[in-house]
Amino acid sequence: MNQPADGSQQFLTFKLADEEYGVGILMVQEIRGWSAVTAIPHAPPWILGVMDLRGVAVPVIDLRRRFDLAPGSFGPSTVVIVIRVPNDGQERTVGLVVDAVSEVYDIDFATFRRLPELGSAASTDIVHGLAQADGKTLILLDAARLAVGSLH
Amino acid sequence: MTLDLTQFHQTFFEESFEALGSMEAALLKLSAGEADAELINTIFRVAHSIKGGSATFGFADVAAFTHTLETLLDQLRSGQRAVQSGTVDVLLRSVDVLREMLAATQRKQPADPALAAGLHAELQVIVKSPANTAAPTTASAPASSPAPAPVPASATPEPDATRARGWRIRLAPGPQMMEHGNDPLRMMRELAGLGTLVTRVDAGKVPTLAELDPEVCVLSWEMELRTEADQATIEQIFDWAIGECTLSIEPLSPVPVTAPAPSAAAAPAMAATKPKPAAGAPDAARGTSGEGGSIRVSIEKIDELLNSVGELVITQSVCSQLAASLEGRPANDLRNALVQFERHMRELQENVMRVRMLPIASIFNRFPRMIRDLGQRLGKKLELKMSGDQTELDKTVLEKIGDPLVHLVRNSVDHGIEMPDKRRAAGKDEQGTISLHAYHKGGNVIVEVSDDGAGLNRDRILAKARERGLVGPDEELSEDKINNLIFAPGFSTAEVVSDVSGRGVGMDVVRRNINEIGGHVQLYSTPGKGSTVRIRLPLTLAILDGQLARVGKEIYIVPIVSIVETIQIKRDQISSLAGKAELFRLRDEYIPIVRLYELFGSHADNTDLVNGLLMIVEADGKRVGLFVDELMSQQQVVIKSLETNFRAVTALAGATMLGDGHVALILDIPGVIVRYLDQPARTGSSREAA
Amino acid sequence: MAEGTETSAENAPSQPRGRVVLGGSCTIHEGAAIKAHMIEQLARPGPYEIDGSAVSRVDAAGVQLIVAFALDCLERGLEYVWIGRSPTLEQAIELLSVGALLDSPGAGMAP
Repeated sequence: MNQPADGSQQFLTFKLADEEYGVGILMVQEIRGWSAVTAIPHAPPWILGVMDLRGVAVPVIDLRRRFDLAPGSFGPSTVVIVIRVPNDGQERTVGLVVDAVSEVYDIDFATFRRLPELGSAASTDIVHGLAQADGKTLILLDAARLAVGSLH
Repeated sequence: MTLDLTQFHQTFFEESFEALGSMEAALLKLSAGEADAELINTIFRVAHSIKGGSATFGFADVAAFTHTLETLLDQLRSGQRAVQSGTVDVLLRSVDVLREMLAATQRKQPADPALAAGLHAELQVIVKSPANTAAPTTASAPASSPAPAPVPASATPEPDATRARGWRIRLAPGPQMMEHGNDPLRMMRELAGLGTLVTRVDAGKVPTLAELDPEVCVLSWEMELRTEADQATIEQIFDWAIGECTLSIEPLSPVPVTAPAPSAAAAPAMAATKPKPAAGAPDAARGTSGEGGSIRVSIEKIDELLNSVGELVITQSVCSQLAASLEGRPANDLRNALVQFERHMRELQENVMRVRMLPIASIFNRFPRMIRDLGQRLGKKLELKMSGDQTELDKTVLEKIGDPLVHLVRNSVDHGIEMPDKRRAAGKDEQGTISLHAYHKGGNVIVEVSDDGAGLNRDRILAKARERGLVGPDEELSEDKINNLIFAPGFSTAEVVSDVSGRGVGMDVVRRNINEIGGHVQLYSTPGKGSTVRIRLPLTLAILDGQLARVGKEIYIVPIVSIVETIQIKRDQISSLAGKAELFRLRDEYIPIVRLYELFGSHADNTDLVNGLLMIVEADGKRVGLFVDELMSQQQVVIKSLETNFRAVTALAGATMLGDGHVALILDIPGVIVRYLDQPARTGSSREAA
Repeated sequence: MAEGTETSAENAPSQPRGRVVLGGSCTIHEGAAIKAHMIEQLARPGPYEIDGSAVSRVDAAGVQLIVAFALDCLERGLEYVWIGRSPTLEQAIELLSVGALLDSPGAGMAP
């Protein structure tokens, strides 16, 4: 993660089952509403399928499923955050289904903490750590790992 | 008529090890300049009795070795031969070898013959060498008369003894030094050209001819050079060899042992025959505390005793509880009597526990020798200060605190205390001080290991931690937190884990060992000034100060020593990580929440986190919050091992019976944390309703 | 090793005694050769002789080999005598302080 010299970085936050998560703003390509998704056979359960993004097939990840939360419902108010991350000289684009998009925050990295040891109770590989913004605790996600790891 | 002697073996070994301990202590005193007929006699008697015992039991190798040792010691005590510092070194090494030989014999394994062979040969050489000249070569003849002038004041006594200007140089070539063209002979020649050189060689590492690698130098030397030359001139001689040998150069100071004047009467300083009032001398070889009589008691007997007393305490507790609910005059009298009873019980309990307690001296006693050897090996000047060696600890705690303390002291010497020239440059005394203090405080035993060395380099520690991913790139840590990073597993800032500190034994193992006996360790450091490690230990492992906590119908006991604080939490302090783990935000750290009822498969009154209490506990540097329904009283609890009745259960340290007859389970906090981390992933759906 | 040769020496009284001869150069460069020579001579019956009268160049490695030889003999209770020592060799022995180790005590078995 690159931090600008002033020790802050902007994150787009979204809600997922009562918690606030964040991804680095530089990786967010766009935010879309829900559109039809074509299922992929033999895909992991959290991949809903692919959607057509201006002619490109983009995989869509159900984050609730990915984090083992109770599944939500998908409808007109569902939001998809499309992120684009560099990977091995190329770029990967995935869509993340979330409950609702919140705001863009400037995170002060002085409040950033890595996760304490949690054993197998939580899959922490896709979580960078925790930080505070606007009096709230944000769970900062490692978007690159999320995008790449989820696809295989 | 054959007698089965094996029944006496154990006693022989125990007594021999004790005797070797007092021999070592006496040798250290000799080495420090306290020359005394009684000391030499003590040492002689130890060798003599071990020789006799080993011969009786047929331990031939021990007997042969000890015989030669005894011959040498006899020469020393009869004044035939003077004690020189090289002699003390050889004798100290003999103690080491004897210990190993006895240990091997005790294990019924053959002792490694190479072990004793080299040293035995050296001893024989000394024994056979003409009396009074022994190994060190002197530039000129020693003073006349049977008692020789001790080495430091040799050569031309008058002018040098008073001026005593020169250097003590120790050279231990590394394996590649000679191969790379550095010849110790050339170095000696050049040194001798600077003044008067007196040399002692250590040939202890010379293997058999067949095993010797002709290109590797296994000899090492200790030299005293009387010269006007300065240190830089001396160092130049070794310029090419720096890094390929262990070298130490220290200024010579006037030797306190010899009288400065060359009077022959001064010579006996190190030699025998200075009669002193024998103070408790006969017991010296036995190595006991020297008071009255004592008997050996097996540890099992004491534990049985302690167990019985523990049962008594519980029964008394039950009686008091029952009496509390009675009414009437007789009930009052009964209650009064029970109060007395309780007081007597506590006293009995404390007295019996004290039987298991031993002074920490037995551990502290190994350090003078260790510091001496380390100082020589590393070329550092060290002083050891110890206090509180009569502070008593439970025997089990004592046994387990030895290794961590050794490691901490080695760490201080290796990484803490700087080399003499660095210390001088920093305006410090060339001699570094390592301090060991033990004392009782507030129901605990505190042991502190301090040094006045360089202290912890916080920047380097932080950098290393960031490198290892233990700390975020911009995460800020308090001074204390940075210091305590060195307890993290696999952490070492030494570029090479030196042999002195031991490979693979990190500070994390030290902390774990201390936690296992219910103790706590904390590190304090001031850069440039030094560091202190403070260890807090429980007085006993059998009794625990516990906080009672209720979860549903179960009562758990949490060791007070592990509790950080107890909090009632608010919803906005809770974060649920991807629905699986719950974290509590305590000021500027996040602490995992452990729902005890889930961990133990029981029921709680509250499943909503804001309706119960969170006990923040700490073990092994990790913190978790235990979610409980209610806090109850604090009590001193006698731990009864669970294993007699149940299988060993992780996370439980034992059980105890409360006054009302209920059984309460005592939590083992490190075990609780392990159990929490081992849980299979849970789905979070059941929790969302909260 | 020595015992073996001693028993076979009974039927070979003509076998010469072991004699270690140190050449003019007794340094690390000749180390392997000197070691081999010493071992070879030690395989012969004792008492041994060691001749250092020709040594004109020596270093610590050379002296160390001599020390190892002497300690081997001491340990195994073998006798050896010095035929001669050159001044160069004497000085080296004194500087390195190994004189006492090299003065063969004769039959040095443990009492």
